[in-house]
Amino acid sequence: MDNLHYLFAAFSTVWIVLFAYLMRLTKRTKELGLQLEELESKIREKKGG
Amino acid sequence: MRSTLVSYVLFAAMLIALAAVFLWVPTEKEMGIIQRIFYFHVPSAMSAFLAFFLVFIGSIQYLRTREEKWDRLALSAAELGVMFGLIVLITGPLWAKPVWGVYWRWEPRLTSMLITFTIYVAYLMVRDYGAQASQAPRLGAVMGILAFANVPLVYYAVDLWSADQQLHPPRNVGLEPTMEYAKWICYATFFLLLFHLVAQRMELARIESAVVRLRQKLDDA
Amino acid sequence: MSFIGRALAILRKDLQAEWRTKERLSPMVFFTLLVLLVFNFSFELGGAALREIGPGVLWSSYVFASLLGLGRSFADEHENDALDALLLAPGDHGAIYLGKMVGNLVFLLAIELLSLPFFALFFNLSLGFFLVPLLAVFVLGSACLASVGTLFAAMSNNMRLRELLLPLLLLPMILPALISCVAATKIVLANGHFTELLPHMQMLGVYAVVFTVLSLMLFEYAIEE
Repeated sequence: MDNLHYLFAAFSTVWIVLFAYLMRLTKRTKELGLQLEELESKIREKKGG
Repeated sequence: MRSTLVSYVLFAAMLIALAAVFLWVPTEKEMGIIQRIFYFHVPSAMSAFLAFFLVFIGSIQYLRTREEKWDRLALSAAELGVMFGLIVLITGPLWAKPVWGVYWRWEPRLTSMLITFTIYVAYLMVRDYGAQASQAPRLGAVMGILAFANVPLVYYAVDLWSADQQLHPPRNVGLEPTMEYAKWICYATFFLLLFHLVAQRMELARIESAVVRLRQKLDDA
Repeated sequence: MSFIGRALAILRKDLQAEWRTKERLSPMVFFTLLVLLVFNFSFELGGAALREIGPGVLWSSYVFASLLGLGRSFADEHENDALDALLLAPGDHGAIYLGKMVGNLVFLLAIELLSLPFFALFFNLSLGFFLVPLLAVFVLGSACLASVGTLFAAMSNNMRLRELLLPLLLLPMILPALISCVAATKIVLANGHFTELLPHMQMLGVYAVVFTVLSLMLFEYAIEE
């Protein structure tokens, strides 16, 4: 019954790996947002100029 | 809309799976509480292989139709296969330590998973660092097909190599009915998680390529 | 020209060029010897451990040598754009793959056979009758290496960082074949029985056939511009 900490570690692993992957997706989404903003400002420039 | 619905279903499924694994199933007699790792170790392994199969399908379909969506499927599924593979390769040793006495044994199933995992990590690396954007889908598709063809060979070769080291049970015979139900609940939850994440990742890839196209159009104009 | 005819033409051209210059063969054999030396100093091979790790050392050297050799197999074409000329020629491009693949196979076998006497000499192995089954292991093992290796060489040829990427692609893919090559060589050197050897030889045969056929089918997609 002393194996509870291994179970805890394994279970946490699932969450940590999943979390790390979601962070990766978040980062990419954020970068995408920045790129979109940049594109928007470029379009505005073209329309203005 | 559909993906929001899937999110809620997934949320509920995860809660049910948690309850099943920690409250419902009886503790296994020989290994004790540690056996509960089974309920996410094995479904992770199955999800990884399902993901690798999706890479294979996406790769074949991309070469046949040249539609970008199939390449997005292959790429997304490969990432998630590697993610689930990583879960298997970490939870495996954590289960092995109390039961086999050491974290790592060059045991056939673990070894095969490790080799398969490295093949798909290489797939992602070559796509990321090597191929130019225009050739990545095509070369990725070739790799995706070869990689999947290799999976059964890896298993066969590793079995020949260390059959006497086999420590995994041959089949999960003799699970109590409750355990059997809990196993299927966990399978369903993990597969749902896999499909949901693949869909999300594909959507992200679709928007990314749309932004790239938009930028090119703007630069050309 | 027929499919086989064109494959043979490519094979003949490559072998002739190599025979004239030996620019791949001599450095590769020397490289294999250097790797053997490195392993010798890393593991103290002369002793009793030889039977255990000798086959692994031998195949590791061959795999590393083949990485360098395969990397060069499309390099000439890349440098003088001859690949484009080959691709423009009418007919199935699979013939190019087949010619190159057999060329690489011959080439790997040459390296293996030329360095084997040194391996035997350094590690006090008396050559004998086991050479016959050993040769069969070499042929099948090299066919495995050449099958995926030639396709990956063609693919990485157009990539950035290609010297780095070829090993990344090839090493994990070749592991199942490597496992059986080492196991089979160990059985041969220990005078093992034929029935022990058979499953490994079957494994190598299946691997070589599966990946040669798949590569023939996929080569078209791997090289298209």
